[in-house]
Amino acid sequence: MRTADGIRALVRETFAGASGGFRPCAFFDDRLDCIRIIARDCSVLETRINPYLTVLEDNYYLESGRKQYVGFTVKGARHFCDEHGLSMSAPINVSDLLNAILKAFPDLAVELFVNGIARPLVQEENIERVDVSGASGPIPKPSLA
Amino acid sequence: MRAIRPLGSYRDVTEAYAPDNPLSVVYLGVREDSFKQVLHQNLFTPVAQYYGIVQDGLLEAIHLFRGLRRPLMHGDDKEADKSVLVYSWRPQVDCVWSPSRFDGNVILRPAPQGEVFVVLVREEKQPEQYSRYGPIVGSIEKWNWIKEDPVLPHAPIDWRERYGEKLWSRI
Repeated sequence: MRTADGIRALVRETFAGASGGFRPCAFFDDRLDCIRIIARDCSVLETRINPYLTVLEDNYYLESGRKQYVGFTVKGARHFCDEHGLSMSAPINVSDLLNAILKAFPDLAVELFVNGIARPLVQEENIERVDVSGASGPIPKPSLA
Repeated sequence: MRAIRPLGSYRDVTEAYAPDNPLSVVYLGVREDSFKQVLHQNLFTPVAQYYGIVQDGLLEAIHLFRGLRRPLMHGDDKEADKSVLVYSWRPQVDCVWSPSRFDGNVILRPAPQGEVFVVLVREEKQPEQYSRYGPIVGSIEKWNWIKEDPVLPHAPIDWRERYGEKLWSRI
């Protein structure tokens, strides 16, 4: 098993030349067709709300005293945005995205997620828009089994 | 300690058990594009987890699943969800990046209780061939912790709802 110093050396090598530290972000993950909102660089537990939504929880929030929820993911983003009139040709307003999620999934779990976790998180972290610059190409058809 | 093994369009290649045979070893790679995304956002902890958990840990995988039960488009492939492999196991440790004012350190911790680690891999439709490693059969796309299934040890909770099929288990 690797030592912490060995892993640190590889991380430093990987980030060589990079400047700055982590900042809360919202971006489109083209390779997995997801919108990711991330408020903290930490070890996260991913918990599925439904096939389209996942909430990110800091694995060590209890001992650190930090906030429990540190982000969320909207999966199948191209199809979701197309279905709900959110153009991916320009940055998407996170508030519009959350409104569309509420409209698409009218159930209690999603309402609690949006109003109890996602909205407070993006407001506290001042995450207003999603960078969708990685999005291009046609819209996929749903293929839920 | 093994070094990073860059190869063609891959930043690193590593061993894993084959999708069609858990007794056979194949090579997977992390594409430069995939790594750029975490680098661009300065996500140090996922990078530390790659070197500390994924890179040498894929050979500890206990289960392999194929297919995500949600829409996924990649390039022109409208059914890219079907070609995603998911390796899962219980690693011994977790890796966390602890930033300092000018630098940072990696902290190794016991793995979170009741959680498993999953690695998502996209099967390559036309694997690149290399004389030293042979074909690179998949591209590692993402890795993270998920609650463990209460019935199937080392598997993610709700794995039947998440994934298309279980290809093999090594228990």
